[in-house]
Amino acid sequence: MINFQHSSFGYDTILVEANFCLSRGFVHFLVGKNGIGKTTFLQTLAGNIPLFSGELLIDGKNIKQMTLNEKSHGIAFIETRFPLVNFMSAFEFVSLGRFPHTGRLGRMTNMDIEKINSSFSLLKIEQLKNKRTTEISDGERQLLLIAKALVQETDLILLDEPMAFLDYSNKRILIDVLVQISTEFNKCIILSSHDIEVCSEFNMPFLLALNGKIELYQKISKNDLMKKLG
Amino acid sequence: MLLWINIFSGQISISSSDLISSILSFDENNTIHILIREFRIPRMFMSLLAGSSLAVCGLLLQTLLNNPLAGPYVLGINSGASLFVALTLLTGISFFSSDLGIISAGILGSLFIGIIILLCSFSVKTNISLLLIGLMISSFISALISVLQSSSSADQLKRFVIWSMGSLQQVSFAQLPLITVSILFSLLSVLLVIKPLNALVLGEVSAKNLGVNIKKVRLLIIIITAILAGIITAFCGPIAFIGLAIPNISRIIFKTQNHLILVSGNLLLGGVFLVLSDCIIQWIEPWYIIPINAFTSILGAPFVIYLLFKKIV
Repeated sequence: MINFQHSSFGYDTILVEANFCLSRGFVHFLVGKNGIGKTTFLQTLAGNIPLFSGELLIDGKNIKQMTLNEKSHGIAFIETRFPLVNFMSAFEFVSLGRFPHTGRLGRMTNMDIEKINSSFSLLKIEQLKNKRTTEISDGERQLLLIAKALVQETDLILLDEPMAFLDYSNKRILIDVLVQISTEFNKCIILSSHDIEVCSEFNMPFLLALNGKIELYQKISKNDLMKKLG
Repeated sequence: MLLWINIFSGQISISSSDLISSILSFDENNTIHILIREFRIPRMFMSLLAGSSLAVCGLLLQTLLNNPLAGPYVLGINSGASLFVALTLLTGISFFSSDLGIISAGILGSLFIGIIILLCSFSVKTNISLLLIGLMISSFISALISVLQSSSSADQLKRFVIWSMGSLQQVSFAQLPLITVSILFSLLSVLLVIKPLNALVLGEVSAKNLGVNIKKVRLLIIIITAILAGIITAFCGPIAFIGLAIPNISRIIFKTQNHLILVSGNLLLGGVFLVLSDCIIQWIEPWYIIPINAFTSILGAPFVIYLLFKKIV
């Protein structure tokens, strides 16, 4: 799915390098200290920052040659902070995920609406549909962000510290949902986090950012992780 | 209906048969007919068009900059038009003194400032800074206009001051079709940016990840607002309040961020608001003359504060 060939990431200087392949059907936990380049890595994958050097192929396509339209069909990026706007209903918010699929005027077909509805029911948040995004909790907002990424129908979903504002049980709910999505719809999900405790409860691969390098561990125990991160 | 009332408001009363006959069989020697054709009809259309366009301009800029305080007036786009119109009225350059000259001066002025704002928006990180730059440009330009004013003749000065108070009476019947067509054309092009606007509500990064070409949309929005605000400012003077307040009022009333609804809502509310203001001005005219620019704020500002207290706080 994603092929890193000596890819390096950073603005002015190289922050981190990566050289491995990620496959579909998994949630990859990206862990590492603050400032090591996790966000830069994700922003580059999302296409918001140019690749510093090396090659990066997404589904065989070179990210440097992907158009805005191709990126919006292939990559969904979820920022840490929920974009709070007055007077926006949860349904309106999630429906923006259909953006790349609708026509010039952004009119939604019945099929679009059906997809939005089914994402609400998949995440078990139907009761939020008509609420305003300003009126709901942080945990519910994260689920809305995921619903929006789901209706965007991309193979790759990137989340930048989605659990920063959540309590323990909401963190579990969030990852449960993501694991379910990655296996059921065969998507590749990358999630950055500092919650090694919660992440290691799930049997999923880790991306460890350490000393200017990101390395892939298909299986690693919590203790080994803690040791490596110091 | 409001339009109907507006046509019949004024110091000289007219009947509906006069109205119809003045349109169908215009008589040059009939003063009532001249009154209707030259004053009432253009005035009504201008208040409708000006209200709608300024409201939509405000909405576009507010969403683009992600700030409910934005608007053509705040960002200095109106002032740009003012400066160029002041240059034509106060310096008396002959090419610009024609009607077409004033329109082109207005549009050029607002495009000029629009482009400056646009260039700044590429290098400035936050939208707050951009808003501040707009405010600075505004005050810089008012200073320039004061300089121009102090060195011009009393007659030129009077023309400019009257223009700057805002007037819906400057357009003649013959100019009306050209203005209407160009405004309607610009308003139609707003349809092109409705979809990107919906995504821009989430901020530029999220919009970009949904496939919005930010630079193209920015350019398009600045051009549309510059043309609309330029035409309106050239003819009606700088009307301040509508571009800032109507978009906020419409968001409170319609409770949505769907810009298809918001744009239609702004067209409607903006037009209605200015036509209504104009009606009231004409009713109280026998006792007291209030310039439209002052009246929109007198009527509108307390209303917005009331809405804020009632619905949000």
